[in-house]
Amino acid sequence: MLLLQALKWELSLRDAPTDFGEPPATLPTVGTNLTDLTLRKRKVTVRELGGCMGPIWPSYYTDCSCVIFMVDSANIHQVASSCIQLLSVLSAEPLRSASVLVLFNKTDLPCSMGLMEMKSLFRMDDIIASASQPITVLELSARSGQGLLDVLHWLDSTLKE
Amino acid sequence: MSSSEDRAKEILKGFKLNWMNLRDAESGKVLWQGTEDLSLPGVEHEARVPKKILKCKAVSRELNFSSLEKLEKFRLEQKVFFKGQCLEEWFFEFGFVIPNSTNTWQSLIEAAPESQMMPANVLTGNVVIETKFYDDDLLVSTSRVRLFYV
Repeated sequence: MLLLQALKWELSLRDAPTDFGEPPATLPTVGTNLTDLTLRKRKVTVRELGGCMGPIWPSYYTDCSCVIFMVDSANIHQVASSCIQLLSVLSAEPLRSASVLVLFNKTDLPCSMGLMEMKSLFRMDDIIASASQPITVLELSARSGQGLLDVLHWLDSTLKE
Repeated sequence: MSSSEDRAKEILKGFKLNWMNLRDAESGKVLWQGTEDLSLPGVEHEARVPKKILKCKAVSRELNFSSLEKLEKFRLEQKVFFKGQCLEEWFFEFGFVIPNSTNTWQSLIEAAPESQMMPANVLTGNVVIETKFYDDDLLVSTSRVRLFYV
């Protein structure tokens, strides 16, 4: 949710200095969020699905051209299950040719794990080598905005194709 | 009563529009917000929106809704009537709605070309937006909102 708000903010004030002010409450809710972003005059619809809704994610796979898979880098206990979840996304037939961005979030927290560490825990190189989709890996703090521009660049270049 | 009518009633009973707002899509500024459930059928609702909304190139509409029932393909068909005549028609699709969930739905509504835009004093009180809520092909409800530009 925070990523979406940060992206919207970034897009509306692209050249202004970014000051996020007070971060909004980030309560996990049961439900989905559907948002339109305007990227270079193109309308992009982003659907946000919470991790706890993993079992019903497949209901939303049709008509999906890109996937942003967010991982909480500060939650060590969830690394294994997020990795399995990622594998099931990558092996879903409707997403066979979708572009995939794996985002390791919460880099602002002192206890979060580094990108190298997360990549090795996920065995990301093996995943990238065997997946049918193009996969990009980035790290981000949706809260501070660090890494946000790279996400925008990825969206820009992916949607151009 | 047919079973599809029963189903529509069931969905409607568990459906609630919690809040809604309209923003200028370029600046992100909120132009209007309300917590009245404008989806309730049977009455003509009223909304007072600032007339500068007509100057926006695009308006972003955020709506937050809850549903007790599962919807396979939630979608809206909206018609804009001016003095009873349909001027515009918009289609929006949300898709699958989880039973017992609260969801937000933000969509962009692009403005008609400036040359086709009527002034606020002509439009005010004469515009009615009719919203039909569907689950796929099943019509769940029809609601109407009369707009005043202030």
